Amino acid sequence: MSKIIGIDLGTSNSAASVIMGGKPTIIPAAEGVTVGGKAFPSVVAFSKDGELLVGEPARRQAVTNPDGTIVAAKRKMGTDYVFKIQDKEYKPQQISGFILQKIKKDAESFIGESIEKAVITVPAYFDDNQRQATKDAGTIAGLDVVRIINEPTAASLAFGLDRSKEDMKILVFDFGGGTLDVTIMEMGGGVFEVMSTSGDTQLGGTDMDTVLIDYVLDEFKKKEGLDLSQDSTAMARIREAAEKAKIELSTVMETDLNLPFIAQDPSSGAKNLELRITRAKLDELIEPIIKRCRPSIEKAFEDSKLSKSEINKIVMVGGPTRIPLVKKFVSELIGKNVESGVDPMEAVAMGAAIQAGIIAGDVSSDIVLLDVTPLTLGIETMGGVREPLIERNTTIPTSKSKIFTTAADNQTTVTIHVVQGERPMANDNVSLGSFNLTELPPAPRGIPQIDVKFDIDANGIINVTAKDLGTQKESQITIESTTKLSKDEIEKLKKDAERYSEEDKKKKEKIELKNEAESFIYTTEKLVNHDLKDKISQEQGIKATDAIKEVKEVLNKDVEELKPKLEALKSTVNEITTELYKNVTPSPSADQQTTEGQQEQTTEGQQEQTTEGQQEQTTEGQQEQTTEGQQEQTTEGQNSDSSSTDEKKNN
Amino acid sequence: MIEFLKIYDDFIRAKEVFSKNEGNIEGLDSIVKNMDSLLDKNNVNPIDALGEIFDPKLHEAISIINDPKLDDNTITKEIRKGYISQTKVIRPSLVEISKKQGETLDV
Repeated sequence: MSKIIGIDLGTSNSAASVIMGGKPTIIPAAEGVTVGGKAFPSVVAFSKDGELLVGEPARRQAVTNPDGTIVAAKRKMGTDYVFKIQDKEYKPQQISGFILQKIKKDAESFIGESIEKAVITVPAYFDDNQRQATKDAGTIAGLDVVRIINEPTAASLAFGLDRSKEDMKILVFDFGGGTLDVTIMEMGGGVFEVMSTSGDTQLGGTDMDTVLIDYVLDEFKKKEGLDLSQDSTAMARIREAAEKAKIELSTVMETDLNLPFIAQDPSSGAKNLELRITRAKLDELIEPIIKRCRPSIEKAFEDSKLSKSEINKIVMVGGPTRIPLVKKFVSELIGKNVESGVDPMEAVAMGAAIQAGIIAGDVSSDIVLLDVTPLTLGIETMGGVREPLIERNTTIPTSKSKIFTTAADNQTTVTIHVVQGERPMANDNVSLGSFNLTELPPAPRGIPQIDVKFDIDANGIINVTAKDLGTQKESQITIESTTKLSKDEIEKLKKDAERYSEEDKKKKEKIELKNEAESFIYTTEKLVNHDLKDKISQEQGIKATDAIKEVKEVLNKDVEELKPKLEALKSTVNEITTELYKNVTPSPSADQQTTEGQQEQTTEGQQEQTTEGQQEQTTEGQQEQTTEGQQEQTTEGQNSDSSSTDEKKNN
Repeated sequence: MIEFLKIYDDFIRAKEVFSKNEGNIEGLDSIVKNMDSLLDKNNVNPIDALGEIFDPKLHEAISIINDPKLDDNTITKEIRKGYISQTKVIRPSLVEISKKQGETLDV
């Protein structure tokens, strides 16, 4: 089998690796080693005469050609964004495609054979759309992308964590040049599952270089009284020396910066910059920056609902994590040593190569890396409430179904609106599409049973089918990457989710109470006007009708207003039914056991209702039970959590 | 090689400073000559920059000046010398280039 390469397609830098002699080896960029190591900048440019430049040459000309240079195209993956250059338009996946094309070429000249297949890594928070766009970029570059894996998963593979026989929780601290990504994962049974992700897009190693350069400038100014910040030649030398000093101080306790003839003083002649920098000094300078990583780590723990002591392994990714103080900070915060032995700048690419090697058969491993759904998939139900069907992090391929029903009597059409996201209200999530199931036979609300089934295949393509179990009629939709979520939008959605979580809760509560009230009104009206019409007094009838009227008046008001009225209606109905049962004499043959059984079941049903907030649904379940005696079905549904009867309003 | 080039740069700087101050640079000159021949033996050659048209494969631009008299992308200042060994760039030249009109002034 031919070689499959592993690619770390990064926001600022990209790298590739391949298994050689059983071990992952970094594929050097054709331009040779730069400050970024063997990786190269993820920069694409078109010169004035239309020449395509990728990597180092593109970065070198960026200031001369800002309009023709594209950086961080990864942030736009999966969106409709178009880069306009010299009257030509480029999609983000095309730009990433150029980067992958260069990697393919470099890999072919390094390995000496044609490369057709690759494994590409993506951030753990990438949604289906962004993953699909990454695959498309590979296709554009002439690479068959055999697998997309999460960056933190790749890093864990590079550190050999997959070889552990025991289940474990892993914290991946990915501190790059300009961004921080913190991921908490669980590994067990050959599956890496992301529990939470967090990060800061405005924090990275570049901030550390800046403080160190500022310190060098300050010290020189103090000693010589000269400001070098406006001298481009001096600044270029200081920048280079500071970068070197920072790297050296990861292994030694002190280093000397010697830059002879850095400046020319008109009065006293040539000036030299001589400065000894100790690790303690560097630590003092960068500590405030490192401390800014803390909120992201805390957030990841908060979201994963884990305590720090539950973490078994810490994996560090990115150049700045070589700095001893960064390692110390993370290990002290978590209370565990960080993993070592792999270059943190190469870990992701090497992990991708290991996965590629497993697929190609170059590496033997028991692990089966599975893709997971990055965000929850669900449908919109009555009142705009989102009902989740496939929770985030579910491994794919997967399939799940739930039974839904109608919201109105004689409803002949239901609309299935598929949404993706973590918010409780459907409208606050991203719409993936909708379709109708029509020609339902007219029936009272709550009677039709509509089986909604979600199927996600190995390529992440979602099929949603709705089937009326009564007529066996069905309708379906196929969703192939139609979402429009960028990282920024995800970040926004996440932030919105936090900000609005309280508001959402209230909104949801209000709608659920309204749904419950509407359902109760329906049941009571049916009871008073039909089922018990001849069995209750006129006075009772009027009392119930009045109570219904009062509830109807405040149906759209706040929970505080609606709740007491609904409670009043409930107690009125209870009074009527209690009265009713008082007048019933049990027939000698009646089996007391059955009644008890029903009661028990009803109570259970109500409990579940309250927990899940699906009152109306279960109320209908009860109706169904009582009127049609479908006890078995309802009970089954409750147990398997597959037959909740949420409702879809007919538009 | 990159580390050696940094020291070599320092000698060149020293030579420039001393010659400006009319100091005796003969000794320094012969050190630089020895270094030149060492580089030459190793096939390491300086990259032409000043007055050339900017080429991102050889040069790295770090600043721009406006000069309507020069062709766009003419290298006006060599901030750090670049070196090439056959076709492999060991270190690109750091340069300042000119534009007829500032890119940022374009509307």
